[in-house]
Amino acid sequence: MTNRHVYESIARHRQIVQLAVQRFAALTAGGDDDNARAADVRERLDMCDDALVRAAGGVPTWLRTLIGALSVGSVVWLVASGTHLIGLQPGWVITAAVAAAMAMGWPWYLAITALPRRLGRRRTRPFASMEIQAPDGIDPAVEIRGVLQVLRGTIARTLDRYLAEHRQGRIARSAAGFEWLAGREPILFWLCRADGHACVAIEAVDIWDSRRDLR
Amino acid sequence: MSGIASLLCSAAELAEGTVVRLQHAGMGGRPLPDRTVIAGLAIVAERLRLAASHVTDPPPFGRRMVASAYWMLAVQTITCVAVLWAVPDPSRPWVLAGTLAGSDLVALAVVYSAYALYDRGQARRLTSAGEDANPVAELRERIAAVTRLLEPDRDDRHLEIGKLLEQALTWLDITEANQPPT
Repeated sequence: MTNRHVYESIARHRQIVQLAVQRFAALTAGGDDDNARAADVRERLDMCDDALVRAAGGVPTWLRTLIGALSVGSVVWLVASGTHLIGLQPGWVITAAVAAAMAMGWPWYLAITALPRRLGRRRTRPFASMEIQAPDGIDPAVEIRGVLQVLRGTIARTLDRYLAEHRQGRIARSAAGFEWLAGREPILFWLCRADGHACVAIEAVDIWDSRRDLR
Repeated sequence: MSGIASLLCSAAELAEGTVVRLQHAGMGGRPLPDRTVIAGLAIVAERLRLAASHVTDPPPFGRRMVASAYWMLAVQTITCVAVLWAVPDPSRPWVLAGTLAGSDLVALAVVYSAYALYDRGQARRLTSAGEDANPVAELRERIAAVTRLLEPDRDDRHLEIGKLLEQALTWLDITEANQPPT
């Protein structure tokens, strides 16, 4: 399974989350449902979506370092040339160049923390609107729980397909190996997180629904 | 208080690791693990991390990434100093640019090769690793240990941490009640 296929799958997962978000918004629209528990459900769904975005937002370390090295090289060259031109001593040229390289640390940190989300959103842009019609008479809260359970199943299938062709997929045959690999592979890590958030979202819908019955 | 933070973080890691191990059980076409168990453990991990954040700022990246960043910085510094020492006129712009950019790539190659070797060894050991007997009981024990440490070390933060630990214990109860019989 190539990364492109993984991103396509994640785009579908995100569509399922959006469907749950829409259904929940319709369910709570106009009523007195805008309470802490409804906010909790929305927050959990957002966290699930964010985890999916981050699963698709990986930048290979070598590419990140290459871009970093090229940026540092260019800035250092400009600073060293400038300080050379104004006639600074060699020691000061080196100091200025090293200081410029170090000053790039903070903007670089900001860029690499913002990039995965931006990239993830771009890679998982919905390609078609999803129309799922719930059977008549089904309780909307049950429907949302069902949608999220579908999401869990599709995430598990994506994990299966991804590991089937992963060069270290053999390690993930055991639970300990899977845990070890998930700590090293951002796609696995964030897909597992998304599944966790989906579970918490289902629980949050349960809690919200039980309070709705009391009102 | 920093000892409490590391205990809380290691307990959170145990909860997160247990979630991932349980998720593994739902792969390969097998039935998905119970959502309440996964949710319960995920919330426990969240509460523990939140409690730890009352003591110290949470690291922006994972432990491995922070460690590799430090190693890369060390290798890069050594490479830079060595090259700038060796070349006749190190203040030339292209020498400086090449050294600083090139040392970044050298550091990546060195540190990631070392990690790859380390990972290979660890992966081999994983096959013989045993499973945790009862992670929920272990988590409960660790939370109790933090609570004991918190008692003599009371300050403004202990109330907030105590509340989060109580919530974590409640969710552990829920998790335990929903665990499939072994």
